[in-house]
Amino acid sequence: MMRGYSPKFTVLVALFSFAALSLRSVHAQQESLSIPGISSTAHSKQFVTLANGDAATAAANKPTVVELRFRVDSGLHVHSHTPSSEFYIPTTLTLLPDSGVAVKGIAYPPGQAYSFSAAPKEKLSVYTGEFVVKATVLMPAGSHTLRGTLRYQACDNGSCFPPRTLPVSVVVEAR
Amino acid sequence: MKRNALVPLVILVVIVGLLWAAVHNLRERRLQMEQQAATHVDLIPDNANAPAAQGSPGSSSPDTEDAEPDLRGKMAPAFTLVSLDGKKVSLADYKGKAVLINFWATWCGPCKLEMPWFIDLQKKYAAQGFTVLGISEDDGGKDEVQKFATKIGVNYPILLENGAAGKAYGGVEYLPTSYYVDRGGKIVAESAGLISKDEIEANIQKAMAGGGAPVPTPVQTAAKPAGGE
Repeated sequence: MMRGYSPKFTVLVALFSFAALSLRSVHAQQESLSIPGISSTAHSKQFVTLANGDAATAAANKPTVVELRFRVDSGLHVHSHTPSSEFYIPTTLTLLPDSGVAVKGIAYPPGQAYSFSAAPKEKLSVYTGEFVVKATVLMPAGSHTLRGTLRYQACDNGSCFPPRTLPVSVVVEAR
Repeated sequence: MKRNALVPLVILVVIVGLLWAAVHNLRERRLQMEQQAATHVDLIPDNANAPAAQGSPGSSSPDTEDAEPDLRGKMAPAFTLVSLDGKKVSLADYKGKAVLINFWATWCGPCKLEMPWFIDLQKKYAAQGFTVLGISEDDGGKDEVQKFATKIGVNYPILLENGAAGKAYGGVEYLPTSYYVDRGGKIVAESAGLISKDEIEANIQKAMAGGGAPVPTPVQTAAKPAGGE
């Protein structure tokens, strides 16, 4: 049996194996380069979370309000959907179109008045703690997943983080 | 005969492939090392200059994960950015002057509170060889920044971030963040989060006192609008 493998063939197999390992190494390095650095990792940190990610229920084929309850990290605030200045970033929920699900409207709570201690006269309109965004949806019977994003910009009483986009996903059972 | 000719050919192809892989690996490894060196930051162990430690507003400020690097005592990293009026502006252009580098954004409330103080301090100290350089971290475009700067009445150069300046300063994770550079180009103070006008002024005086004799300042600096020099 061994007579079938010539020295040239053996060398060829060895070279192919080595080449394959080298190429794998190249691939592995390319993957490691795509790992976010310190800065981008910190940027991905969220300051708002979806508090009711569990399944919701809705009436099939009737406009139904689905409540999305969000929680802002302690000590922070986000601007409301109607901030006090045109330059501030409004908290905005965007629901992606899904087959069979129609989003009829999104209602936001009013903001709470807030002032920085260094400027007590300037009133901001913000959300702190928990706030509820109500999405009116129309869907046929069955299980549906509402997917979208919440864009917001968080600050504490002396500094602000860059805007974030929180992925949102809620399963809705329509009966 | 055909088989005999094919084998050397295959070996040649494999050898070329190996050489390519070796060169590629080497190049990638160098790039990776450069990137690691560029993003290397020394975190302040006790968060000494963070808002909470300074007793200023912002006491619930970002945790240690987001702590800004301590650059005090180091040479200010160089940058070249485009100003609102489209001119290239480098930190090196201000050699011999004390500079307050302020990272800010239009959506940042505390930044907006500081800016009138910067305007006052720019007026007060420009003739002594001092300038504020505002670096906007907005990603919504120049028009928004221009509109904001005009509304506030900014009298110092506003530069548009290109992603490199903040990175050079260790990654600006929250705003406002300011660095005070003396006349020799060394960072003598830094602040993260809102601090008082008195603290800002004290830092400016510290920057003006360090790094050698003042360099005569062109009169235009004080009255220059937000676009830059």
